[in-house]
Amino acid sequence: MMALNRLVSSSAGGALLRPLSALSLCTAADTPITVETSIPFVGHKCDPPSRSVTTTATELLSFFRDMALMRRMEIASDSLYKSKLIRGFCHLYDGQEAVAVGMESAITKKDCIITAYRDHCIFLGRGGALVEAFAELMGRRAGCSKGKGGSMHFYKKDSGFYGGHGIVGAQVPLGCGLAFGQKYAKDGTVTFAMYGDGAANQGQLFEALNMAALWDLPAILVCENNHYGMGTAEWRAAKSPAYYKRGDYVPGLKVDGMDVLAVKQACKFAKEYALQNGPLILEMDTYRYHGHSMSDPGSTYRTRDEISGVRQERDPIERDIEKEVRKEVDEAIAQAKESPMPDPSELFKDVYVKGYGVESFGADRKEVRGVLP
Amino acid sequence: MSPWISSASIDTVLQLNRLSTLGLALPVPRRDLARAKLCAKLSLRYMPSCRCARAKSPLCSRQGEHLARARAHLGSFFFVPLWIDLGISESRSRVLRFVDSFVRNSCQKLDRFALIEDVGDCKAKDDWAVAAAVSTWFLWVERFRGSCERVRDALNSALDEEMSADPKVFLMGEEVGEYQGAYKVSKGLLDKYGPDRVRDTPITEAGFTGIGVGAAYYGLRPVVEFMTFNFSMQAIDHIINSAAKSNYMSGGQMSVPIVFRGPNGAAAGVGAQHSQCYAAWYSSCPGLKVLSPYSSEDARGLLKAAIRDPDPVVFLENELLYGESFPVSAEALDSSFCLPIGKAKIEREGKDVTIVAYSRAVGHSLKAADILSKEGISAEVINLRSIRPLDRSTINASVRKTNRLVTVEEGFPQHGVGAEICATVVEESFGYLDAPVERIAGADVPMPYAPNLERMAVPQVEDIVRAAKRACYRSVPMSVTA
Repeated sequence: MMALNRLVSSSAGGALLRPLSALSLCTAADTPITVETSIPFVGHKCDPPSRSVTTTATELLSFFRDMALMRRMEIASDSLYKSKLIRGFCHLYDGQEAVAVGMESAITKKDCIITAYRDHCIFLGRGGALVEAFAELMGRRAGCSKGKGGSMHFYKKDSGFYGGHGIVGAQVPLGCGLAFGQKYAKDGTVTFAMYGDGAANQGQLFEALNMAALWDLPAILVCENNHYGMGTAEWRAAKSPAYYKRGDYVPGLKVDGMDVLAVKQACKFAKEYALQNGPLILEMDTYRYHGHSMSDPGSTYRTRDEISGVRQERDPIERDIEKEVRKEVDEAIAQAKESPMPDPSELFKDVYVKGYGVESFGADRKEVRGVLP
Repeated sequence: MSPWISSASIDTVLQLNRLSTLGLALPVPRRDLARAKLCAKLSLRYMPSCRCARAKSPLCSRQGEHLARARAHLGSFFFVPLWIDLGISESRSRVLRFVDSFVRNSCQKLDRFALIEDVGDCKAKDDWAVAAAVSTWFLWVERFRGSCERVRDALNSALDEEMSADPKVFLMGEEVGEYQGAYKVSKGLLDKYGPDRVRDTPITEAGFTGIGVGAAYYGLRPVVEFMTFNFSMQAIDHIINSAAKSNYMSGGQMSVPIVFRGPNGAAAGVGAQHSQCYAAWYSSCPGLKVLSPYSSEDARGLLKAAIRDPDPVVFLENELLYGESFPVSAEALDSSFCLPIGKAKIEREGKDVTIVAYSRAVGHSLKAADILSKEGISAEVINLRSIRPLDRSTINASVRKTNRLVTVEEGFPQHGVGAEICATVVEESFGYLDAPVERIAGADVPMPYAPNLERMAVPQVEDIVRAAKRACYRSVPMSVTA
């Protein structure tokens, strides 16, 4: 974790110079520490927040652990996919963990998050269980969507996570709708609608942003700029890759998405800003190590040197807690594998909340039919 | 003032909850019947929002009393009923002025009748013109006391009542607020509920539909109005992918209580991009419920059901029906009134052939049934009301009784609603069919503009009559007539 590296090597204070392992045992674990982000924020039509971020040793350790867990989950998903236990689409988040973790640390579960298909780690960040995630990936009964959603459709509505959406860009108007609901209900909470640099070119994003600005919705559009859409470098798809400026009349902030503390600071700022003034765009400068999805090796449009360079220079996670995390992940996978496939009767469940007992049909309606509950 | 008009009676009229339709009857001496019909025709021209209604509506006792007075004054007379659109929340003086000018103008067109200077003077030059003026008020002035209501007002009252009952219900769409709706379905709602609950949107269907669905995720109950369903194509991704599938994909976590509504189907003279029925499109998608009202009672009961339903509902109205008036029962005017989703209505019972239709085609089918009955064919007309879920059992039960089936829809024939009905009957009631199923549908072409071609592209009453006769083996071959 870069922040910790800097912290340990900085001369900010005696206690901070202890090695990482000692931090967890430190009696001053909850003493506030101030750390300066290495890359400044860049604002568009707004004054950027301070680079000095307040944290504690406990928080830093939890960041580290959460990010390491996410990384391990994604690596394990990669293996499960390759061993054909995960089907269809699978979009991995490794490299971008600091965004999910930093964002969570700045908000509450009453705030809403909605994202696209790269959703495993957002689910985990919202308090979702590893078992539920792996079970869903493998299409098992214990999955967070009962095995009926798959990789792209994780939800945890009771913790403010609204999916998990497979259509590029569609989650942004949906997120603005959540913000509309929050404002309508006067809940004093905000929505983070996440999208990638590819989706940033979608027309409906601008439509939703216009309405969010017209109606002062507490919506924060989070552009996770990992610099590549599917098979396409950002410069080939976007005339202006300064995504934080693309809201034009909507203020934006460019954030180092590889620095969990910078993300935390930016999200804290964004929440306060949005509650008072309406929408804001956060561009998280980040990087995905994997290809876009499992069908995209991620190496045809960028060099291996670039990937390994980012790993060495900018990687948000160190590997110290990996053993512990690996064990946790392995156990979750074992448990998920024990969960059976959904019962065939699940086929006709959840089509409607209220199905009026109407008959529904399988492929051969003379053979398979069900009653919609 | 005539003894028949008193300020008290006008107050009674205006006290009725929301006066939007004024029943007006022109009593006419029998000897002047032809003239009276002309008068009615001119009135229709003068005020396009007037329309002749069914004369069958029962009179209340008070109306009967006035009728008796008119009869005493005029002797025997014929009755020309008209309905006048006054809009909601008209002031009393405006109503008075309107009625006054309406009577003057409509009578003025007939040279025999002099301009009536004093509507109160019963001894004016022409008896029946005066009588027309003074009896204006008393006959059928009902909206919420029963008898008739326009589809537009039925939708408006349904929205109003559901918004009033549940603060989570809100309306959004293009021009629903300050402009009062492109078709005035949302008239008066902005004033009553404010801009937070009657939300004007920019012309960006994908964006505002997504926002509506997101608000439904959050637990609100949005009613999203499309100016017409043609524009819902801009937003169909949110209707199908974001709304219809979320509950299933999330294993039941993400219910989406939302209504998408607006005019659908063939309109008049607007060309191919603005004139199309989307019933088959949306009803092919599991997760959606698709309703399509015909009458005012349908409109009220189904829209209320749609808003109360926990799932996404596509609610297909019809522009050409908005101004039509239908008798409405007292029960349907109650605010608790609601129609069941997934149940068809047998509009007319019959024994020789089943005609299944929805929306405006129900009206055509009823007219066709009238014509058929004169030729000894008893047609049963089923108003689907709900396209998804489809009431397969009502359709099949009817076909098992009549053994013949005609389906009627305005949409394209290929993979249409009629095709699905045909399939279900073949699957469930094949042995009962005495004739091949007949499909009447929109022509398999984009909607043409020229009126003659347009007429050919939309099902007409005679098409239904012809098809029903074919199904009954009663069609007369050309060679025989030649």
